[in-house]
Amino acid sequence: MTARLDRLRRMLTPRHALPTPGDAVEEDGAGEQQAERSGGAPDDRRGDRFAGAIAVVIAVATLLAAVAGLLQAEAAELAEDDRLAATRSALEAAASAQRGQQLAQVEYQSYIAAVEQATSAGNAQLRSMLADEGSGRHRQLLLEHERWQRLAEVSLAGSEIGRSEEYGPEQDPTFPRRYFAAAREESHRLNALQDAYNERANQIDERGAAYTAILAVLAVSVYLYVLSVAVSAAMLRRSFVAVASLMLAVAACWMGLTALQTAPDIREDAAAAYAAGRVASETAHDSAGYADARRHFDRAIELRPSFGPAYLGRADAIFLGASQQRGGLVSLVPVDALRAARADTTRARELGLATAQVEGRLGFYAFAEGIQTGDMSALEASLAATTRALRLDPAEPVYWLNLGLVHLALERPTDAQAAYTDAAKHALYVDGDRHQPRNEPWLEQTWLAGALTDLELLARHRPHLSGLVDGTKEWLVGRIGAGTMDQPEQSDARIEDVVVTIFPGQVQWQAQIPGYQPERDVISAQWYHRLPGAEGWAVMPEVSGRSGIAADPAGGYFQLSRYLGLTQPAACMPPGSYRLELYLNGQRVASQEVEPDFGVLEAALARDITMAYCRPADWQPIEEQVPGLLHGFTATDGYTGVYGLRFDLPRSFSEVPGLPELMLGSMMGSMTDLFPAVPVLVEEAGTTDGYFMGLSQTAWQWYDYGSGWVRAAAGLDEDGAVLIGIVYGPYAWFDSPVADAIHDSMVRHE
Amino acid sequence: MVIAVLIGLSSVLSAVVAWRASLSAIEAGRYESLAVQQQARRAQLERELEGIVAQDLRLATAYREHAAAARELQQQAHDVRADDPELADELDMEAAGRRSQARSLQPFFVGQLGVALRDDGTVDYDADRVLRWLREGELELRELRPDDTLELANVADRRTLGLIGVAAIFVGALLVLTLAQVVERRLGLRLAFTLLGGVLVGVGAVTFMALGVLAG
Repeated sequence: MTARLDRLRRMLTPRHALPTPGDAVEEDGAGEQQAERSGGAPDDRRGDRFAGAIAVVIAVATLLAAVAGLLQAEAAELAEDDRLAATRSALEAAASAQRGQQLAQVEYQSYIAAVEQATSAGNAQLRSMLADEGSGRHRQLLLEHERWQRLAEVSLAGSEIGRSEEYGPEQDPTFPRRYFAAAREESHRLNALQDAYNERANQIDERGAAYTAILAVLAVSVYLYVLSVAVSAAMLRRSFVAVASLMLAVAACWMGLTALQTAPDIREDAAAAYAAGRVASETAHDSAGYADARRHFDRAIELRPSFGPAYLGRADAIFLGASQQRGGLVSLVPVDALRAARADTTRARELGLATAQVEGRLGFYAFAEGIQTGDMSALEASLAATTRALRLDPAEPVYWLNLGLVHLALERPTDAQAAYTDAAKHALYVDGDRHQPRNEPWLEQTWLAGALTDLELLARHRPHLSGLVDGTKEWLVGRIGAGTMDQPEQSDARIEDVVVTIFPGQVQWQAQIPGYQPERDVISAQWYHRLPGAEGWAVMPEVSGRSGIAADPAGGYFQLSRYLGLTQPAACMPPGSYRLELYLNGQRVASQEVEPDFGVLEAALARDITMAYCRPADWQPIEEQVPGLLHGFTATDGYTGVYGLRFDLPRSFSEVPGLPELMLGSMMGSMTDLFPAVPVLVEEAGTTDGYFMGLSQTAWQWYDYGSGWVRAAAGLDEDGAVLIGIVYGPYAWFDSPVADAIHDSMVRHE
Repeated sequence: MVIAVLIGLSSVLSAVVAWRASLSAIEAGRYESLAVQQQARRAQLERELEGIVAQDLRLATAYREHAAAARELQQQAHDVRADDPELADELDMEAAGRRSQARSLQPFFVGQLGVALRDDGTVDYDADRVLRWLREGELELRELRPDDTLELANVADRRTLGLIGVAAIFVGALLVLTLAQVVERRLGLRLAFTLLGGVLVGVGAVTFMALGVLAG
C-alpha cells in the first residue's frame, strides 16, 4: 500500500519538484552557467518573452471568440426570425384557408340559389303546361316562370361559379371539388413558405450550434494558454501550448468555413408552383390531371431541390397518374412508376418527412415493386417501412393489411395471419376497440376491396402462393366482408346457376340458392374488373358487398348493384372484363367472368329529374335543358341523342289507366323540335311493357322521323311522376349496341 | 502528467458538452416553434372540415324546409281530395314543386352523399358522424400531435439543463485540477485535488453518457 502511494506520488509530482540528488546539482549548475553567460536573470527574460507571446495569442483567440460570439448571436437572431416567419406563415395559412373557404361558400351558396330559382322556373313551366292555355292561371304561371328564370340569371351572374365556367359543373366532373380546392391554393402556398422558413431556420441553427462549439473550443484554448503560463514544467508547458494552438487553429478554420456557408433564399416561386401542384393533384381524376400536377411539382423541386413536400406530392402524382384504377384504393401500377414514386418518397423521408403516411406509402411501393420484379430486398424494405408506419399510426387498417400482405409475400403465414387479424379488428372497430363498432360498411368494403386486389396481385406474381392467397381472401371476406370478427357459421346452402349481367350503370347476379337462410347466411359478392389489355384484376368496392340481396319474383335471388352515381367523378362501368366471386359465409362458392360490349360511355347525372344515364363521351348537353323537367345530350351534329324527362303530376292522374303511355304520346307530339324531324309512332311495333328503371306501368314505343328511329320508354314513379327516357339516331346507328346500352344504363337517381 | 491529461480531457469534454447543450437548446426551440405551427395546421384542417359540415348543415336546413313543405302539402292534398279534387291537384303540384326544390339541393352536399327527410321531420344528416368520417379520411390530421411535439421540446429543455449541469461539473473539475497543478509543493493537497478532479471528470463523463443514452 505504501509502495503504491509512493508510486502515485511520484507520478503526480513534477520531475523538478522531486529531484534526484544528481539531477539537482546538474540543473542548478547549468542554470548558474547560463545566467553567467547571458549577463543575469536569463530565466526571467525567457519567461517574459514566453508570457508576452502567450498574451498575444490569447488576445487573438479572444478576438476570434468575440467574432464567433457575434456570428452566433446573428445566427440565433436569423434563425429566430425564420422560425417566427414560419409560425406566421402557418397562422396566415390557417386564416387564409378559412377565409378562402368562407368566400368560396358564399359563391357556392349563390350558385345553389340560382339552381333553386331555375328549378322554381321549371316548376312553374311544368304547371303552366297543365293549366288551360289562355287562362289567367296559365298566364300567371308563365309570368312566374319568366320571373324565376330572370332571378336565376341574376344570381348566376353574381356568382363566379357559372354552369360552364372553369370550376362549374359542366367543366368539372368532380364539382365542387375543384372550386373548393382552388380556394385553398393560397393556404398551400403559405404552408410551402412555412416549410421553406423552417428549413432555413434549421440550417442557420446548425451554424449557430457550430459557433457555440467554436466558442467552447476557443475558451478551452485560452484556458490552456493561461495554464501554460502558470505551470513551470517545460514539457507540460509545451504540451498545453501545443494543444491550445491546435485548438485555436481548428476553431479559426472551422469558423471560417462556417461563416462562408450561406442560407438559401426563400423561393416564393417554388411555393407558388407547389401550391398549383397541390390544387392540380387534389382535383385530378385522370392521367392528364396527374401529369399536370407532376409538372407543377417538377418546377417546385427544380426551384427548391430540398423541398420535401413537393417530392411527396410528385410521388403521389406519379403513382396515381400511372394507374388506370379510378376507384377504391389504388394498387395496380407499372414498375417504372413505382420506382419513381418510391425514389421521391424516400427523398421526402430523408428531408424530414418521416410520417406514418410516408412510411406507409414507402411500404406499399416497395411491396408492389418487389413482387413484380422478384426483388426480395424490396419486400424486406416494405416490411420495415410498414412496421414503422404502424409504430406511428397503429389505428390505420390499411397498414395492417399491407403488413399481412408483405408477410405472405415473404412466406410467413403465421405473421401474416396475426397482421390480418389486427387489420380486421381495426377495420371493424374504431381504434380496434370491440366496444366501438365502426358501422361504416362502405368504408369497410373499400378496405376489403383494396386487400383483395393486393392479394390478387400477389397470387399473379407468386403462383405457388395461390392456395395461401385464396385462404386469406376467404378469411378476410368472412370477417371484414361480413362485418364481424366471429367465425362464420356453417351452412348447408348452395349457390347454383349463377347468371352475371353487366349494364353500363349497374351490375347484377342472379342465382338459385337452395337452403339459404338470410338470418344465418352472409353472401358477399366481390366484383373484379380488368381493363382491356391489362393483366391485373381490381375489386370494385362501389358494387361489391353483402347488401341488397333480394328474392327474384321469377325464382332464386338476385343482387343489383349500382355503380353510376356512386363514384367521384361520376362514371359508367369501364370497358374490359368483369369477374364475380360469390362468398357464402366466408367460403368462395362461385366465380364467373364476363365481357360486356357496350364500349366506353360517360355518365350524365340529372338529379333534378331523378335520372342518371350513360352516353358517348363526345355528346354535348342540350341547350334546351329545363331543370326538373328536361335533361339531355346530343351529338354535335344533333342527329343522335338522349333525353330524360320527368313530369310531376297530381296524384289523381295516377288513377288514369296507361298514364305513362299517354304522357309519352303527348310529349312526342308536342316536343317535336327535340328531333331532326317530326317523329311518327311506329304502330306495327306496338307498345310493350318491358323493365324501365324499376318503374310501374311501363310503356316502350318506337317512332320513325324519316331518317332514323326514336326509342322511347316511360313509367310511373311511386310519387306519381311520369319519367321518360328517349334515345334517337339514324337507322344504322340502332344496329350498334350503343342505343340499347344507353337505355339499359338509365337508373333512378336522387 | 495525470493532471495534464485530466485537464485536457475535461477541457475537451466541457467543450463537447457545451456544444451538445447548445444543440439541445436549439432542438427545444425548434420543437416549441413546430408545436405552435402544428397547432395552427391542425386548427386549419379542423376548421376546413367543420366548414364543410357547417355548409352542409346550412343546406340541410334549406332542404328540410322544402322536403317538409312537400310532405305537408301532400298531406293536405290527401285530406282535401275527396271534398275538393281540384284543390288537391293544385296542392299535389305544389308538393311536387317543393320536392323538386329539395332534390335540386342534393348534389350540393359535400360531406355526405345526399340526405333524406326522416319521419319526425328532421334531416338524416349526422354532423358528428360526417365530421368523424372526414377526420378519419384526413391522414395528416391524425399525425399532427402538437402536444407530443411540445413534450419533445420539454424533453430537450430538460436535457439542455442536464448538459449545462454536466458542463458545470467539468468546469469544477478544471478548477480543482488547476489548483492541483498550482500547489506543486503541497503533495497531500495536490493529491486530494487530483483525486477530486478525477472523480468530477468521471462523474461528468458518466452523466454525459447517460444523458446521451436517454436522448436516444
